[in-house]
Amino acid sequence: MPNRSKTSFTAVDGWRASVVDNVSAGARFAGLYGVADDASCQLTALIATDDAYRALDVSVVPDPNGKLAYPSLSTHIKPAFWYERALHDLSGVVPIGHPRLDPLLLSLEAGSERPRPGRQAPPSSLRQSETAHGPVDVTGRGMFALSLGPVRSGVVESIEFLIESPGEDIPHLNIRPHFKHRGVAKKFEGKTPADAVLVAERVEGIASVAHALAFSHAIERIAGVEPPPRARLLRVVYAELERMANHLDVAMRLSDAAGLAVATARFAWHKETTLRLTSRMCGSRFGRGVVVPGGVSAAPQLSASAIASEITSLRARTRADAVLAMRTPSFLDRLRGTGRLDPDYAQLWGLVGPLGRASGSGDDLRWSRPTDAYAELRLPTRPAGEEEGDVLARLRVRWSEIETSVDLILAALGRLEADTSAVLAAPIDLSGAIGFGLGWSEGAQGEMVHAVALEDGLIQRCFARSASFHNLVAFHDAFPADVFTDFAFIEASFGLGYAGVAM
Amino acid sequence: MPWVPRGLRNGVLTSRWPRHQDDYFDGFAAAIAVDPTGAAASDPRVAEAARACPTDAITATGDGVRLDRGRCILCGRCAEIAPEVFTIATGSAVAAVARDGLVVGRVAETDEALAAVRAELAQRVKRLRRSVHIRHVDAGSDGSDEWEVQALVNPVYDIHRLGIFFTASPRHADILLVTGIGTSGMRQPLRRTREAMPEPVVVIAAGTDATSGGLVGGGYTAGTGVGAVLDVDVWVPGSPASPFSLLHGILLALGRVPPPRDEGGTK
Amino acid sequence: MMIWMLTAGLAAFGLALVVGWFAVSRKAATVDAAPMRQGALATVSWIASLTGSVLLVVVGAYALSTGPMTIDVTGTVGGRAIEVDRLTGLFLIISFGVAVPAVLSAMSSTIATRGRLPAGVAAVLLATAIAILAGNLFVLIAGWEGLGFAFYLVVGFDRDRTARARSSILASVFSKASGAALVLGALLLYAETHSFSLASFAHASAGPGRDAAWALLVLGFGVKVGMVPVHLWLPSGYAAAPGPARAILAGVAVNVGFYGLWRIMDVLGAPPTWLACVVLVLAGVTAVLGISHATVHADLAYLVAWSSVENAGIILAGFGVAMVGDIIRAVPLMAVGLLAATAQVCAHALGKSLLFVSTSAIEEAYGTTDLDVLRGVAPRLRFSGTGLVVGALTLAGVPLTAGFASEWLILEALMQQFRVDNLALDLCLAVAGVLVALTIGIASIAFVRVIALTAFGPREKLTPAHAGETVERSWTHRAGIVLLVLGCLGVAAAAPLEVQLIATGISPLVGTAALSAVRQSVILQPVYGNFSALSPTLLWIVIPAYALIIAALATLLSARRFTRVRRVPVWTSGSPGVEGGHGYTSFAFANPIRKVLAAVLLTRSELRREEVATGGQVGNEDKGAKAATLGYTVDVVDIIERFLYRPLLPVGRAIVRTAKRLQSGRLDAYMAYMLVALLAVIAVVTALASM
Repeated sequence: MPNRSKTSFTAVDGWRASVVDNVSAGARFAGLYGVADDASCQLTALIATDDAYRALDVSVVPDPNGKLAYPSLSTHIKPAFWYERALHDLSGVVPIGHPRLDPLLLSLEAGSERPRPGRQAPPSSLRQSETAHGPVDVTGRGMFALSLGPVRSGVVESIEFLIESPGEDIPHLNIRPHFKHRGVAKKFEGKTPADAVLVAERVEGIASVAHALAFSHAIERIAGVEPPPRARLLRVVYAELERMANHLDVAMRLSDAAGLAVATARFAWHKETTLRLTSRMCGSRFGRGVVVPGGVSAAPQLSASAIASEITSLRARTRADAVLAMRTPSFLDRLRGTGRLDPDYAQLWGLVGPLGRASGSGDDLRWSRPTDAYAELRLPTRPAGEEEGDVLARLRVRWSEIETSVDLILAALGRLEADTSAVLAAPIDLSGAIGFGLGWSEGAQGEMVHAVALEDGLIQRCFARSASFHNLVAFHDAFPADVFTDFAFIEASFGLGYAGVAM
Repeated sequence: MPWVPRGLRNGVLTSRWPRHQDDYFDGFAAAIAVDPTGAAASDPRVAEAARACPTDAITATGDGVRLDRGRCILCGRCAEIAPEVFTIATGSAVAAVARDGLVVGRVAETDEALAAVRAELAQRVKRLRRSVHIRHVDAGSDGSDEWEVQALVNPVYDIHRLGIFFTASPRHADILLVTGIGTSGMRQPLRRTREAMPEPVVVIAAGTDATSGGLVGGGYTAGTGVGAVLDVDVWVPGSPASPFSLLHGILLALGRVPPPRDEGGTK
Repeated sequence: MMIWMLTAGLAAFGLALVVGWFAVSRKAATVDAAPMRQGALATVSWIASLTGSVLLVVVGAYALSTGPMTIDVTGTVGGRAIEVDRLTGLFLIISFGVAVPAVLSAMSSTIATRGRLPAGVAAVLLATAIAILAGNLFVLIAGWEGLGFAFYLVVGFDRDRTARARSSILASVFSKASGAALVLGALLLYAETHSFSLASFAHASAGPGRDAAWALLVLGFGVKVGMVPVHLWLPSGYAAAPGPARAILAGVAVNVGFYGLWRIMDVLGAPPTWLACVVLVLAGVTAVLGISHATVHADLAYLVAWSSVENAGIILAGFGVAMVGDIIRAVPLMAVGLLAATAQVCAHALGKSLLFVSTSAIEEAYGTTDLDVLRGVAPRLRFSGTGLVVGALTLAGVPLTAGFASEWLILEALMQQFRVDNLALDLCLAVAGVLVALTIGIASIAFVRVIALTAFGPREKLTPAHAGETVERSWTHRAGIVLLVLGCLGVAAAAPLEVQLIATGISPLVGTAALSAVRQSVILQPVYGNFSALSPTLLWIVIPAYALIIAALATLLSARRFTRVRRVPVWTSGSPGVEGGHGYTSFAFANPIRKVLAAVLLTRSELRREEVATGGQVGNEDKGAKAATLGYTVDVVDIIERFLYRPLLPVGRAIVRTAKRLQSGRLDAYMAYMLVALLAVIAVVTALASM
């Protein structure tokens, strides 16, 4: 069933109309990327319908001036805003009529070559601009620009938030992730799936398992194989441990922002416990090297019962601290009403993950498009969800997800004890294969989608789209009534990894 | 207020390393060890392992097998293919004061040069004494490195007990801890931060990414490690470098790593 | 002798007025000779004003040391025209003591373009002198109305510039109202005492008539000092006045208002309890409202002007304590209130003059008083920059300046609340105390902004073109600044002397009670012993000594590394070069206060999409990150203006429309009005006299 999900168009207008129609009919826009050919560029738009994904593609050919251009989608589809900028940066395709075609991922000097992922040869003369500074948009009395980052205070990833403020208020900010653009897209190219999954793990290190899963699912889809049951269960265990660590990290950062030293230390300890548990199972604190196309690489070095007892006591401690945190007025006061994104907005921008779910929208792939063992394990009837859309709602969603994660891990461990088969991975032989596959997983940040094109059994192009990239754009609008001191809370509540944004 | 008893509930969680042994420190698989006597360099399995290495960390030439931990991302393939030569080694003491020090296997002896480097570093850090401030800069990591660096302040590692603190201003910093591959975009901010620090300064490259660019470095955004941008004093391998490896690297820079104990010492 | 000096001083002001008036009379006639002639005449006028001020300071000093003297000009009507006692002497010293440097600085203003400004200033000084010296009601009213008229002229001096004409009309409307209140109050007293002599008002018997007079007089003088709710004219009035004259209005003439309050307490005796309550509460409100606006205002002239409102509040709080003391017949309490208030009057006169004198040169050099444009003033204008810093420190009440001891005294005076045995007074004292303490706290933020950003802030790329630095370079301006700086700092160093001076000055009211505020010759206490103590003089020794010791230790212990510095560019987390990325603007620095005090300032902020960028969809107002020209505004409003005066405006307009009908233009009608008015006056006076 490799290419069933892909629809090819011959004319750009028809393609655009179809994408716009799909989105206006209620489907969620999930991505846009280009695959460069010698002169032309193939655009693929990803659309998430109720229970599946569709890839719509079309080839853009150079106009008489040798320029690649097409009418922008952003004018009709909000979330295409960043994708089109990234597409322009990487593939050099100009979306005509785009509201703001500033560099997002890559700031290049005029006339420089572009990386053009999909085309095998690396660019020969790519000149990055090191001095370009951010745009200033707002005028008004007393306005000044405050650039937070790229060298942030504290131990965090590099990104620049260029805040424009008349003091205290944050009427407007620009997000500039390009500083740490690593060119990951080109790193997939020409690798075997077995090597490329290691790259996928490093798209966003704090969601290594989620990305490895999304990538592996894409490969498995191309190869038409299903991982063995034991691997499917183990994947759930690792994925949920990763989710717990991420959610605990958010809790830690929120407590830190609120100045609750003990709470910060406690949640940091719980997170460390989670990472240590993972490392004692597989050797890596981030579950790296575990997920491989076809299954998992090795059985855990801990027995299922040992894992279960650890996770049970971790749950007890976490739950008690979460309850206490949610009863601490000085904490709640800072979260309530802060960084509100209302449901209409979340819907319009198609926000995913806990961010979307806290604003009453955004599905959870574990429910809507289950992979691995999620379909077999008993999930609560509905994914966690809130309507308020503020920092507090996001934290509530995360608490509830931690509970679900523990339940899922325990259920999976129970089945693992019963399962006696030794097969951990289905064999995959893709040497010389050509194909296209979509893979996805629900990471702690939200929906991870990998669109993989194989050529001669090697990766020709992998569009590794992290939920962080999709969601961070909403950060622009998360400050309707908030001030400087709310910044740390709102940023923490998004819970995103910037490596996955800058790629 | 109710947080105060909560903080006391679970007793002391903090590791006692480096004063005392720590199981997690010793048990963590932080590197690949090479036994050059395990098989000849010409052994086909060694060659296969070298080919299978996704970061080309293994060289098998006529005079022996070498593995560059600064390139290794610990995928463990070599240990699967040629377990006689390559083994996953436990113990977090993997940092080195010279880039060459990360190459294991049959290596030329460089004791003299190494001693000179150590002496120079020791001279430089003498004035830092027992209160040291670290400025961290992400120069293009995958995000996991920051988690590991951040973990150093959690109650389990608690580097404050050692007089080491993170600071936001490079003006107050003694150590520049760099993670990530060193992308073109971060070169200038990184240089500016280094320039803003008061001498003496110690630069630590944290993780395989920062050491060599690892798996994702070396593309069109350059990124073959921060050594291309700054003079690095201490190299900490690991993908990402675990908190204990980082702590070991920091103490190594400060000359505060305790001498290695005998095997089977008191627990 | 003194009488001749006094007369000479007044005559000097008169001369300055006349000469100044003719300083531009020949402007059109001879073009080439004109500037020279104007310059000479204007200088003569300024020197005359200067001489008059010096003479009056001498007269004041003499009066303070020897006691009362009088000049009887009119003889029969209204009693002695001029009466000089110790209180008069004190206020002469304060007012004309700061007038000397203020006039010195004003002299240096660009003479050729300032036309009749010396005449306006002379008129203000003359009216101030007359009002302070007045011995009877006629002279007082003459001085007061003269002052009002002089304010109208000076505030409207630049009436061709935006909104200045409106400010001068507003100022004169409030002057008229205050004059009316004074006349009304005085007539009530006349009805009791049948004398126009101020001193004879003391014989008015207690009762509703005297109470009403008290209130009307407080209201009348309150207008001049900027008491809420009759402060409305003051900020825009001061700001609209030409730079060199602002110090004269805000530092010199304002003291007439305070003098008037002190004088009514002197002659009328204890006020009604409710009036003390009202004054205390209004004082607190005045202080908070004034400092709130000063802290957030985007214009230096307005900032300093609003701080006058704030200071009026603080001073009135001290006066309120004295009123309470008067009511409960506790002379020490009265003494501490008056002492504190007078000390604050001194500090305010010095600090305010210094700030406005500096502002004048800064305005000339930058061509504006917009705080967002004024950056790094101190390195560029060394004298005016120093003036700005010292003036700001004084008004912020920082140790080593005159403001510290006076604000401490005010707070100490308010803390004597426990000695009062009257619930209403207790509560009002507490309210005033809390509000004044809050005010002093916010004031530090207001003046941190002035010092950190305006005086020393990093200079923006676009420093405005040099409009000229004539004022800054002139020696008279520099001399004025130096005198005022020495005043601000010296008064602190010699605080016991200042207190003794004031204690002598207020002796007509409290006898020698206030002298016990100085203990062991260098220590101050709030008149009552064993309550608290402070020695600004010793602070002047200790604080500099600490600074020196620390500097010496640092240099020694660092083994001279302290002096060896490697200089690198300022580190910022972001990429340098962003437009507007030089850190906080002055406006932005005040924005947190706009948020915190939103209840007082009614802060409103709004982000507008002013223009959709090319490529965007016109009319699509959805939220989003797409670029467009965005505009952001933050506004504050004066709640008194918004909720008290604005609703009254239609009422006032309706009254005016009705009154217009009376003005028919027919002579017989006007004759009839006069007859009716005369009959009414006779009836009222007869009725009152027979009471």
